[in-house]
Amino acid sequence: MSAELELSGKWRQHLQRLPESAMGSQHVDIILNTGQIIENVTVFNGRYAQLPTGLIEEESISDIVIRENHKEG
Amino acid sequence: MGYQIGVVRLNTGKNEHGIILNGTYFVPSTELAGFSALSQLVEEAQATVRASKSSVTIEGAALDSRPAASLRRVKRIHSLSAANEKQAAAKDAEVTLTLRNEIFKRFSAYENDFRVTEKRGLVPNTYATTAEDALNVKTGMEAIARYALESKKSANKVFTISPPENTRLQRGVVEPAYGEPGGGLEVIFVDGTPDYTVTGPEIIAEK
Repeated sequence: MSAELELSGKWRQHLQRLPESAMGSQHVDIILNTGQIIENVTVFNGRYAQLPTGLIEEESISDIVIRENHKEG
Repeated sequence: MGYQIGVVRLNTGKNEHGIILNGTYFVPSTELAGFSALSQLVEEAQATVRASKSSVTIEGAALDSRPAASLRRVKRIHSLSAANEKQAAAKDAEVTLTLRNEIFKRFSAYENDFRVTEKRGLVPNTYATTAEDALNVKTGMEAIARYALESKKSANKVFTISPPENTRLQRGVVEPAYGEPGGGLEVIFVDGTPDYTVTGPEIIAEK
């Protein structure tokens, strides 16, 4: 089940500094405090993370890193 | 006959800006107004040298640096080849430079688009399209199709970007993706754009 997580200002500023993957979107990996990595998450407008699985708490995010730019057909 | 533009140092001690023809003849900028064609200019310069009318000689020259992409003739060749080649996505293209007064557009689903700074510039590595290509798009849903946008929220907010000449960018063609055909032109502003270069958004129809 997918879910959308609205990121707070801290992560929005972080994402603004990262490259876009296409107009309006970024593909990222979200690294959690536990060491778990949620791979290939799309974020729209640097704010709305489209999580592939259930909702996570923003406090559990340790880092967000950009994936190599590629589009999926 | 080729030409170069630059500043030469004369044996009189003066520096003068002008055109160097074929690496041989120098014509100061102040004298260019009297000529309507390059051929006329060349003939006059050659005649002057043959008649040894001038005792002035050139001791050194510093040429104006002009990026290839800003030369009109080079741009035409680029446009011609672009029409005949299958173009790659912008991310795989070489970095080129914007031309003077070139305008770009960015389609977004959000009025507070995250790539536009508080001072109305663009942050580095931001996508947009050319103003010419944007003429093909009348609605936010058409923007999703032409630029293969992943979000299906209507991208009906249109920002206008007016970067200075020689702003670095990559140019390419949008590949099909996310069930959309793509095919529009896309650019990436590698270093972003300076403050006060972004206006809008203009709101267009959603669909």
